[in-house]
Amino acid sequence: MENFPQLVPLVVFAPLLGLLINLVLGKYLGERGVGFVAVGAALTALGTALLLWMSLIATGYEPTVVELPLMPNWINIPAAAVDIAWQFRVDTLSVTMMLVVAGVGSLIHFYATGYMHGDPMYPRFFVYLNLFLVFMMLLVTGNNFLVMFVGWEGVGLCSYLLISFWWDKQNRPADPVEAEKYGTLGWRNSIAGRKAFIVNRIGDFGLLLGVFLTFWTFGTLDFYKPGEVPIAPRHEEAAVVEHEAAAAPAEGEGEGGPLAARMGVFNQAELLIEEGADVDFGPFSLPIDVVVTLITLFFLLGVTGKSAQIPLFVWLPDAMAGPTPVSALIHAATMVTAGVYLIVRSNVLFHAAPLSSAVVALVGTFTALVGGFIAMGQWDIKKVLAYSTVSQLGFMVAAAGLGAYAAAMFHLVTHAFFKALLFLGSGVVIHAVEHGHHHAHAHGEHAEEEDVFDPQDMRNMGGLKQRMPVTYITYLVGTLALAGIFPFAGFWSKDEILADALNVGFLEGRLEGYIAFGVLFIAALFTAFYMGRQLFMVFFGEPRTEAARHADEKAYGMQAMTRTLLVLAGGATLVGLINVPRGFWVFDWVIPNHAFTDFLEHTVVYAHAGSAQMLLAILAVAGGLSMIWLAWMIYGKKPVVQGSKDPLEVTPQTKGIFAYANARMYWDETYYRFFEGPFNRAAWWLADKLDWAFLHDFVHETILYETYNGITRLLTRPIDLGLIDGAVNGLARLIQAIAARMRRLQTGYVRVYALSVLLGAVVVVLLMLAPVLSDLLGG
Amino acid sequence: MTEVIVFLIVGSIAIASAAMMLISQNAVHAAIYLVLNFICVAFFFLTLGAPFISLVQIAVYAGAIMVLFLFVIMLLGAERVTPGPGVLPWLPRTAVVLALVFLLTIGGALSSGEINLQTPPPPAPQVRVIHAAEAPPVDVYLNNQLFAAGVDFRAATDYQPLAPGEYGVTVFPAGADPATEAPAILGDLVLVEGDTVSMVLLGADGVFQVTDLPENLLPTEDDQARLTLINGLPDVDRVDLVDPGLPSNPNDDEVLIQNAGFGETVETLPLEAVTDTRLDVVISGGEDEEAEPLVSFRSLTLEKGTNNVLIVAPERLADGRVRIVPLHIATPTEPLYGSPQAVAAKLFSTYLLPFELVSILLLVAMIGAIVMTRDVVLQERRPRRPIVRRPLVGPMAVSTLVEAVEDEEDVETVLTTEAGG
Amino acid sequence: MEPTVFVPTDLYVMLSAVMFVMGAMGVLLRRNAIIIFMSVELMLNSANLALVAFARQWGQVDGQVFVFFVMTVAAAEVAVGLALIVAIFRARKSINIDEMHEMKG
Repeated sequence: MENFPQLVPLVVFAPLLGLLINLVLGKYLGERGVGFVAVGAALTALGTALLLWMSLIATGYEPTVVELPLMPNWINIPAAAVDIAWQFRVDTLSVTMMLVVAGVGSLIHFYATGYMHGDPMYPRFFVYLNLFLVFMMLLVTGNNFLVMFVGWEGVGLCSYLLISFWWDKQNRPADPVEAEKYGTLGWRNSIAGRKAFIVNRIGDFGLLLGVFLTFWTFGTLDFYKPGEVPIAPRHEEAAVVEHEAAAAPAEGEGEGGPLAARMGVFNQAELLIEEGADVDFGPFSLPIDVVVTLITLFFLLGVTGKSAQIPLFVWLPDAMAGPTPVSALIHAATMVTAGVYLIVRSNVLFHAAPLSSAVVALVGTFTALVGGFIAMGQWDIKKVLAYSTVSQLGFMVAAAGLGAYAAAMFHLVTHAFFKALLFLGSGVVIHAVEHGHHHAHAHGEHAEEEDVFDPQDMRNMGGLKQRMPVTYITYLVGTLALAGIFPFAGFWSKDEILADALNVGFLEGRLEGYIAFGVLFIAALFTAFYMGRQLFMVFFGEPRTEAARHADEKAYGMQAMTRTLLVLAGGATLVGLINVPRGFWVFDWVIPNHAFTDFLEHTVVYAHAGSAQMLLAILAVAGGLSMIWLAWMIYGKKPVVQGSKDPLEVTPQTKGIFAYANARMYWDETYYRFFEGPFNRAAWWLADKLDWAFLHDFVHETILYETYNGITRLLTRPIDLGLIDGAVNGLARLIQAIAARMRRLQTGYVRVYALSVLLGAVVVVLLMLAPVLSDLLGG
Repeated sequence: MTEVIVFLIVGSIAIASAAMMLISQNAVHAAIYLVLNFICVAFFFLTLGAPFISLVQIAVYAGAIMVLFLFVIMLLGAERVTPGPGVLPWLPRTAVVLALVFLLTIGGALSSGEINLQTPPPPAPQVRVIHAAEAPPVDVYLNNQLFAAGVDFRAATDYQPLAPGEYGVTVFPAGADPATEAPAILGDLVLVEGDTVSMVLLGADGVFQVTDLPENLLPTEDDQARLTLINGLPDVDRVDLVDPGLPSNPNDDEVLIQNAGFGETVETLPLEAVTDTRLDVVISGGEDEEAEPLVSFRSLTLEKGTNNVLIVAPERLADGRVRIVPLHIATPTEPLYGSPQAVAAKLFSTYLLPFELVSILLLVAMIGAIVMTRDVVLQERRPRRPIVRRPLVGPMAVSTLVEAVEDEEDVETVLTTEAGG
Repeated sequence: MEPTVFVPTDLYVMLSAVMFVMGAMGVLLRRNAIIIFMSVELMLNSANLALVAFARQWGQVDGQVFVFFVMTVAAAEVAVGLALIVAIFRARKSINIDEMHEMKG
């Protein structure tokens, strides 16, 4: 078991192999073959992750750094003292992420084999999915920021590729706002993919700056060097003594060369902050804590991009244009949590920068609120889930910002399960409704409706409870888990975040704690409301369209989907038990309390277990239940009928609020007005005036073209045609004339040639005998 | 005079046959006249001392090649050429004029007397050095010019040509400076054209001498060798060279050379070539027939066609004693002029590379003849490659021209000018 | 043992020149390709005669060696030339040399 960590490259290379096989042979394997290879690759990664997890338990949670044998020197520039090795890090944090990614990933791969059935680009889809696994695994297993960045960019690429997977999709958006924005026949998926990519560039720019600054400051990008032990958290006095010995050898400056060669970023940060060192930037220098704050703020910019936080969250809802498994895997369960992973991984830095932490907490908090608020006003089933994801990511980021790293990770894990469940469930619903739509229209209805029908619009659904029981049950589980109802997974994780916020606020007296607690509690209520609304709109009441009436979850290929749902529902129910807080002794006999936190603490030095706030828990559950009840009162008792408006839209008191939420708080429009519009106008101006009018018309056409033409004309007429051609042609004519006369010599008669030879011979003899003959003639 | 008359008769036949060949309308007749001409030429070769070439001429030319000609004529049935159109009427006149100019030139040059073809120039004298004196290696100077350097005892140098004339011979120990040191041996040498001379260094104990031994490198009689003896012992008056005959019979001794004094040249003796014989050197005038010979040449082989110089020379041993050693220096004579040996000797030494080239040429010609006379070569007609006519200007130049030159006629003329011719 | 010069060399040279010119006339005046070929052989022979005569004049065998070479080359030339004539005759049913003048400029 000690050698198991050496297997870690397999989590990257198994999907890589899978994608290569599908890339080369995908055309010939058929759907079953492609699915088998892709799922097999994902399962191999999962198995490897499980083995790593077991080895961690067996070896006492000792972190291991594994070098890639083929690439000992990944980036090595001796002149610039850049030496970055491609190393894999096996510790509790990375293994947690691997398990989530590979576990949820495998299930979603399996689900997608059914969901993508019949798609002409089936192999390509699985190539992309496996490619995503490759990069996600790189992201979470890398032992330095650069490998992580490669993964970070790679998953961004996969996200782009998969959002735009149906790049030729031109369906008209049902939403009039979108219809106005994209036009009736926009390349919606391509635009969405582009948007995701571009917005993420802003975030990646921040992350890259952070990485550069990190390298400048610490001279290395490694989290920890191989064999290095994290220096103990300073705030736990008892632990300091215990870890003093471990840290001691690292503190001796004299031993073993420069600090950067011996010590990773985090331990250096601890040391330097303790020393209060200054960082030299050439013309000026800054105190280390300022630099760390800058680094973490740059990181935060990256997080807001990748994890869809304010202000860069706008790409995530549009990203739902991609296939539903993609939404579930990339845009709900795994990729978008990379930001949270980054913060948790850099907890030492964030802990050392209270200002940044506070900003992170506030950003997360308000993202949670905004996401939840907008989700209440959406009709598109996936849009609701998308804003819900934004909101939940806000919860995680807020928790991380508040120092509750374990809670953040915990919520990440549970969220991966129930949000994947919900997305996949919504996928089943969409699939079924679309199927029903085709079924209904097989009887020959007019084609006009075909164009406007949106299988994702909840107004087109209703009454699916009876037709899709498995989906309904699992969706219910997911809803309850997301709403934080006891004892589902979301209850434990969300409650822990709230409790931690409360602790930060009341026990530590920090302002962001108060704000976070209050706002997050409201966001949690929003969560329960919009999930209840969605549940009732989709599954309850009477079918509102023919499509919903013909919906059915037993069509070909949907078994794989519903089975996945069942597995995920089990996970969404039970996964919360891994981190039951202190105090719920009832559950102690299943899994020890806060086991997950203990697991993480070996890596995340500033993680700490929350304690149960029984009162808060009861309050939250009661709030959640009451919000679901409220949703039932509004949407369940009197189901929305086809063509009617949302009940909230009708009520005068809520009309404005709903419109605001429905319009997504005009966030995109604001961006459009303040950034995109001016940018576009500037681009237009540059293109029209600078490029076309000035560069093309004036510089190229007038100056260059005319000048060149003038010179060319001069060169052509008198010089080339007159002088050069005249000389060449004249010479040619001269030679021609000579040749015409000379050719007569070549008569073709052998005897003439023989005569000329004889003539030559006579001349030679004459010349040779000339002295003798001249004597003879002269004498 | 008889020879000249014969020459004139045979020459007339040769010219007549050549003329008949020229004018005969039937190719078979022409070929037979040519054979006659070749035979005449072969006769001239014989009289010119080239028997080998003469026979080759008969065999190869008059035989093989002319048979080949006849064969081809018969094969093609082309004894008479079909009369073609009378073309090139000016050519015969011009040809005759040229021929006359040629003949006049040659004849004029020959009759001018400027070209001496009556008597051949004699060959340059050839000289070599044989070191048989009791002395270390020596340098030999002729008229104070270094002639041979570092000649070892018992060694003979190669022949080197020299101009005729008188030479003073000085011999120094090897490496000595002739300007400062006194010569060890003095002598003189008189050379006339056609001489071949071996300078033999003789002597011991302060008595030294250079003996000029004239040699004859002309071919020997068949199965014979030439033999001469030089007495190199200053303290022995005269010696005889004796063939002891059979050892069992003491009475069959035969004295070959008598009374050879120190440094004297005795007459060269023609001798039957023998192998593995024994010759004794005895002091002249010895009464005792049974006396031990002074020195014996044992296992002596006299090859036919060689000049053999036997020298009895003193040699100082390491312990200071002097002993008498027999020296035998054999030199091959030249082969008979024009004989197959003479031709072959040149062919396989000086002209080896041309010889090989010519043999390869023959091989190639043979293969070429076979290939060219195969029927398929002529029947196989490859399709004629279509002639592609395209302007010599590229499309870019054309477009430029079209743009630059306004009227199309101009373009056309330019293009046709460039494409034509 | 010097070979005695009985007939002066210039007689031989003169004879050689006359034969050479006759050969040349044959080449130039006759139209039968085979006879032209034979005339070429005659020219070669005259050259051979001159070579042997000069060889005797100088008492060197080299001239005779050259004659040997000339004969060899002549044999090769005859082989190839007659093959050519055969080929031409097959193609044109004639060996009139004046009928072959396609290679004019």
